[in-house]
Amino acid sequence: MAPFDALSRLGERQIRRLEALAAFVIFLCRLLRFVGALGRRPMLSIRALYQAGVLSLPIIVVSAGFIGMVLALQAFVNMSRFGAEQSTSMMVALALMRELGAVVTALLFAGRAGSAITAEIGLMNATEQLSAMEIMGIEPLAQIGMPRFFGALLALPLLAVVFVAVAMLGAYFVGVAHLGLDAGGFWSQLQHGVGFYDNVFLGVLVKSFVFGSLCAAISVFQGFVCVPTAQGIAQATTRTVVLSSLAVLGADFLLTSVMFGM
Amino acid sequence: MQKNRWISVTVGLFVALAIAGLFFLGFRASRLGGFSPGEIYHLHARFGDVSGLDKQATVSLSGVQIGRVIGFVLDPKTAEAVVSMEISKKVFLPGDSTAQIFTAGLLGKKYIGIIPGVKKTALQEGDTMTRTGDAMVLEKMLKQFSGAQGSYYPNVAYDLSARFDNISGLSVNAPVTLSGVQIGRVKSITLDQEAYQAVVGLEIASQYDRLPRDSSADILSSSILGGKYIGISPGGETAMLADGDVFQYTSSSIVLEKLISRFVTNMGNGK
Repeated sequence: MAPFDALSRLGERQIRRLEALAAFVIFLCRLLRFVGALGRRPMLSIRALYQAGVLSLPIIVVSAGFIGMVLALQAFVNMSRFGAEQSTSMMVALALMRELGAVVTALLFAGRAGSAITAEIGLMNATEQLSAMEIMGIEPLAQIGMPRFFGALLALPLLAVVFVAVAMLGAYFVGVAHLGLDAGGFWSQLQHGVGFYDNVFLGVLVKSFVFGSLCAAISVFQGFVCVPTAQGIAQATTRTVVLSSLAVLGADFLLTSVMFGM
Repeated sequence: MQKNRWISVTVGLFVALAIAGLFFLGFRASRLGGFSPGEIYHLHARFGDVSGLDKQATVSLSGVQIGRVIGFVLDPKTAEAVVSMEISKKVFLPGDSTAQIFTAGLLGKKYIGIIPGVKKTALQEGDTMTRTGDAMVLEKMLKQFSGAQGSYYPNVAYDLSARFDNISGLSVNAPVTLSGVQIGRVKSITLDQEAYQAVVGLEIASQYDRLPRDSSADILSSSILGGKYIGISPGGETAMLADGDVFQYTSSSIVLEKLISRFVTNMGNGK
């Protein structure tokens, strides 16, 4: 009955995956019941926003600068083959606002802040701080989970805006100061060809809000359900980064096809 | 408490930075909002050729936007394109103003520029401007012809065919236009091995059944990098083309290399 065993193992694995997905959705519903807890202790959310947002700023700003400069360089070199190097700024802006800004920020964010959230909650779990809270009658989801979820959710759109703005400045630096494009032409191309609603609102804000909720939910969930051992925490943080990145890229395809597909 | 204060201050700075970034993106690095004319009136203009003009195209006076194009139709009687525009009510246009189709830059979008006239009376709601200047087409400058492009499948159609020496670049489904408005599409392309000619089957929408028998079919391109299409220049005969007819006059596509080599050989002869 060897082939039968293999088949049943395959089925079991699939069922476990579905169970994990169901557990995630149930967890999210339980977590969202505690939205009211945010208002009772706002300092917890501000602290979470500090840890997820402000502490991620250096990596976001530095990578944004380099990505902007690289994009400007590539756009300039390739566009100048068609004599269209004046459109460099527009091409960089469209690429950044529609795709790269929100996606790269979310990927960096999952690595920098998402893993930190999982590790922190996981360690609380392993050292039984969460159980201690329950015994004291404090709901860990309201005290620990919700503020971190909210902080991460809010941090990503803010970071994405900073990312795109800094990357545009990086592109300006390379394009105007280094490659000798005209400064006025650089900005007027943008103001002429880049619509605010399509690109900044949908491309940056809406996308990064969706990515933010995905990353935040996955990292808080992984923290709460991790196996309470050193190895378990390590696995949970890895899983946070892998799952967040995949979820972001998958959601990005869906969002792009809805927003910009024909 | 000191620690909390520090965190609040940096978070506040972070949020302010993000809002500043949003303002920067909105006002410096993108176009916030579009043209809103407020109260408007409608004008029409008759053009011989509107190639490349889109709906929503800008209508400007002295380079400042005063309205936009809201649609265009082909008048089958005169083979002219009638363009409808909405113009801001604040703008006074003399009755003898001219509407000219311009291109912004070499590969830029087409727009309508109004050149004001001298009459004291103003154009009113629903008026038609008769003084117009057509769109410039690359081939028009080279050979004085016309056309436009798009994907188009007529419901009820009749078939015509035309023979060309050279159709390089033309593909099946390419548009067939008259005065820049699409009236049909290329249905088939075959090679006549006897005459070494390309035989192009054209499908023309039935409502455009007034093509004179001596009309000519010309292969044109919509811009320097644009696709090829067939432009029909109406002739003067009273007999009309019917299903199955063949165009008597055609002109083939201009191949850039041939044109350049002709220039080069001419230069050699001159010396």
